[in-house]
Amino acid sequence: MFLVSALLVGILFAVSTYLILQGSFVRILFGFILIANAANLVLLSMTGDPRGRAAPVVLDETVPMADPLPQALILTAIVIGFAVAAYFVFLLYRIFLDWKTDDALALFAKKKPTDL
Amino acid sequence: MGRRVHLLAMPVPVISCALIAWTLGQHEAGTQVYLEVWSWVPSLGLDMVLLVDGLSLFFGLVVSGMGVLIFWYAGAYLDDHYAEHNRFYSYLLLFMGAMLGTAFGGNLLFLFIFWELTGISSFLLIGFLYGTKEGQSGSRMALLTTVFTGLVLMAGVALLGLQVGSWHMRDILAADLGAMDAGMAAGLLLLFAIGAFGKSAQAPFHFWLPNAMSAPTPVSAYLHSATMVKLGVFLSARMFPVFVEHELWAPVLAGVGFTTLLIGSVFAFFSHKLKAILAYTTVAMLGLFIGFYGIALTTGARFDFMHILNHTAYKGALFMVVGIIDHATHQKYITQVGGLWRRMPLLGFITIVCAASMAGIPLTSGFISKEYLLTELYRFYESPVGLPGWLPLVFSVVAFAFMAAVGIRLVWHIFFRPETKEVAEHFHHPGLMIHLPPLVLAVATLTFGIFPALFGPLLQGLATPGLQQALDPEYTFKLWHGINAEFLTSMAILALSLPIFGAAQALGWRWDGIPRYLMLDLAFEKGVYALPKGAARVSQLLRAESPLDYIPLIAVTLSVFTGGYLLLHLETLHLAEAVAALPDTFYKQHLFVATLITLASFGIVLARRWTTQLIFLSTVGFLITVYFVLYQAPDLALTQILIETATLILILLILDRFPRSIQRGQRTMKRSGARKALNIGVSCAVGGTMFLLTYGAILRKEEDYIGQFFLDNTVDLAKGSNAVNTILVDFRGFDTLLEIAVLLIAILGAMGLIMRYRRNPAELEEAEFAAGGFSMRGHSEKEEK
Repeated sequence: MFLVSALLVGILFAVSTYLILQGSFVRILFGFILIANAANLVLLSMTGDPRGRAAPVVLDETVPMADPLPQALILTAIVIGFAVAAYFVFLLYRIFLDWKTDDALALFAKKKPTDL
Repeated sequence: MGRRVHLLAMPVPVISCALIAWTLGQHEAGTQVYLEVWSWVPSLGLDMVLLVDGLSLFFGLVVSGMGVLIFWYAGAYLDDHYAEHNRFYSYLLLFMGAMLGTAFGGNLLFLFIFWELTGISSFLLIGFLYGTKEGQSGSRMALLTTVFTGLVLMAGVALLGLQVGSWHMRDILAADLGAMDAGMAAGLLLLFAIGAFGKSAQAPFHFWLPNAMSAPTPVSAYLHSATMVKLGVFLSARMFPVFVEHELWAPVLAGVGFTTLLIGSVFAFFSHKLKAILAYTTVAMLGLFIGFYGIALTTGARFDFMHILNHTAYKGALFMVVGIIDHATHQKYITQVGGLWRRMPLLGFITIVCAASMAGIPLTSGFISKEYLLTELYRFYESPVGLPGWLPLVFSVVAFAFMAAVGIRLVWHIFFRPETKEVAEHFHHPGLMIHLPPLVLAVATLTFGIFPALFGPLLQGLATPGLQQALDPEYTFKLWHGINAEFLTSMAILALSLPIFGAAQALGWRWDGIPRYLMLDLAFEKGVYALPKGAARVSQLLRAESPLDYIPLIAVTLSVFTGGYLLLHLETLHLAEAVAALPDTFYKQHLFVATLITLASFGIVLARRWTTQLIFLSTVGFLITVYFVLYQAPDLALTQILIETATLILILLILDRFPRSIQRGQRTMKRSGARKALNIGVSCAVGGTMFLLTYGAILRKEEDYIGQFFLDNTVDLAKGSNAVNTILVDFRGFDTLLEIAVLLIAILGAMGLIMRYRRNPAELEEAEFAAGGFSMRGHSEKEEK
C-alpha cells in the first residue's frame, strides 16, 4: 500500500504539472489546487503504515496511534492552500478584466487580443 | 544651526585628540595593553577589545589631530558654498569614529567591521555632492573597489582566525605561519595584502583614489590623503609581526609598493587637475610606505612613523592649499591658475614649505625623512631579500625626482608665473581663518625639519613591539650626517628634477593629462556596466520573463537531478519486491479510492468546459477526504470537506462572471503538437520523480519519530486528548496565528485586486464582459439607470 500512495502522488503531480503547463489561467488555477492536494498526500504518506493504528486522539494510552505530526502539518497546509487559491481566483479575474483573456500565452506575448 | 554646526562637531576631535595624547602620556613605550571592554558576540569570538600600543596610538593621534585641523578648515571651506553642513559633519564624525575603531581594534573581527565602516563613510563623503556625475561615479568606484578588496580581506581575517582559533589580537599576533600549511600561509598573506592594496589604492587598484577627489576638499585632505588611505599601511604594520618572515612578504609588498610609487609619481607629473596631481603623489607615497614595510628587516622596521607623519603633514597641507585656491578662484586645473603670490603670499609660503618637503629639500621634515629612507634603500640594495636589490632604490630615485618636479611645478605655476585671466576674473580673498590649519602643518614641517631631534622622544614613546626595532635611547636625529651616499643621492634627485621640469616647461605642458586607458577607471566603469548586462543575458537565456518557458526548465531540472539520482539508486527502493508483495499487502479500500482519484484527475485534463473541470476537481478533493479517513485522520477529513466546499463555491461565483465563450475554452490559443508532447513528457518526468521520492521517503519511517512526543505529552502538557488539535493550538500556537495572518493577507489582497478596478465605459456596453457586483458597476445596473 506504500506503493499505492506513492503512485497516487506521482499521478497527481503529473496531472497537475500538465495543467500548469497549459496556457489557460483557469487550468493553471486547477493545477495549483491539485498540486496542493498532491503535496498534502506526500505529507500524509509520511505517517507510515496506518493499519492497526487509531486516530491520534489519546483516550487510551495503550492503543497504538497514527503519527499526528503530518496531520497537523497538512491541516495548516490545507488552509493556506485555500487562502492562496482564493487569491489566485481573484487574480485570475483581475487579469481577465485588464487583458480580456485567460490565456497566459497571449498575456506573455504582451499583446491584447483585439477580437473582443 | 546651519553653517555653525561645525562648532558643535569641533569638540569631538579636540577631545579625542586630548584623550589619546593623555593616554600616550600614561602609556609605557614598547608594551601592548588590551582593554577587554565588552563581549559582543561571544559565540563568534567577536569581542570589543581595544589594543593600546605605539601603532594604535600613533594612528589615533594622526586621525584625531588631523581631525581637529580638518574640522577647523572645513568650517571655513564649506562656508556658503555648500548646503547641508549637518549631513557633512555627521559623515565626517562617523568616519572619524570608524577610523579610531580600526586603529584601536584589538580583535581582528572588530577591527574589520570598523575597517569596512571607514569605506562606507568614505563612500558617503565622496558622494556628498550626489547630484554631480563625478560624485556618483567616484563614490561608486571607491565603494566597489574597497568593498571588493574588503571582502578579500574578510576571507583572510576569517581564515586566519580559524587557523589560530581566536580573533583576539594577542593570539593573532602570536600566530605562527611556519606551523601552518604552506599554501594556507601564502594564501593568507596574499588575502591580507590585497585588502591593504585596495584600501591604499595600490596598483592595480590605484584608479579609485583620483576619482574619489570629487569630494569636497576637506574630505580629500582628511580621508584620501591623511588617514583612510593609510589604512593599508596600517594593516601592513599591524600584521607585520605575523607575516614578515614569510618569503612572499618582501616580493609582494615591495614589488607592488615600489611599482605604485613609480606609476603614481609619473602620473602626478603628467596630470593637470590640481587634486589629481596630489592624489597621484598620495598613491605614490602610500606605495612607498607599503614597500618600506616590505623591505624592512624581519626584526623590525625603523623610523616608519616618522615617514608617515611627515607625509601626513605636508600632503594634508597641500590638499588644503588646493582647496583654498579652488575656494578663492574657482579653478580646478593648474593650467588655469597663476600669479597668486601677489594676492596670497601667506598661501605661497605654506605651499613653498610643503612642496619643499615633498621634494626633500633641506630644512624641511621631508629632507630628514628622505635621508632615512635612502639609508634603508641602500641597506636593501646591499642585502636584498626576495626581489632585486636595485629595484626599490632605482624606482624610488626616479619617483622622487618626478615628485620634486611636481613640487617645483606647483609652486612655480600657481604663484610665480603671470596671472591668468581666470584668476583675474574670479578671485576673491578667502580670509585668514582658512589659512591657519595648513599653516600649522607647514610650521610643523619646518620645525621638525630644522630640529629633527624632536622626532626622537616621539618615536621612543610610540615604539611598538614586533613592528620596530628597539631604538637606542641615546639616539638623536641629526640634520647633517656629513657628505655620504644618502646626501649625494638626495642632491642627485633634486638635480634630476630640474631637467625634468625644464623639459616639460619647454614643451609647454601641452598634453591632456594622462591617457584615460592608463588610469584603468574607464575599464572599471565598463566592467561595472557589463555586470547587469551579463546578468540580463543570463536571465534571458533562462527565459525569466516567460513562465511558460521556464516552468518546464525548472521541472526538467528537478526531474533530472532528483529523479536521476533516485533512478541511479533504484535498487535501494526495493521496487521489485514491493510489486511482488503487492497481493499480500493488498489494501482494497486504498486501491479503490486511489483509482477513483486518478480517474477524476484525468477528467480535469480531458474536459473542456470550466464547469466540468471544476466538478472533476471537486471530486478529487472530496475523494481525498476518504483517503484521509483511511489514514486515520478524522480532523483532516473534516477540514478537507469544509475547504473543498468553500473552494467550490468561491470558484463557481467568480467563474460565472466570465463570458460563456471563455468558459467553454474557446478563446484559448491552440498549442502545437510538439509543445503538447513536451508538456506530457515534462509532466510524466515530474510525476515519476515525485513517485520515487515519496516512495523512498515512506520506506524510511524512523522508529523514533517526532510525532510520538506529542502523543505522549498532549494530555499532560496541553490538557487535550486530540494530538492534532493540541499541536495546532498549543504546541505550535504561534504558527497557527501566523497561518491566520496569511488568510487575512490573502483576503485583503484579493479585495484590493477587485475593488481597485474601474470599468471603462466601453466595457460597460458589453453584457458579456461586465458582470456587476463586488463593488463594480455592471451592465445590468447601467440599464436600470
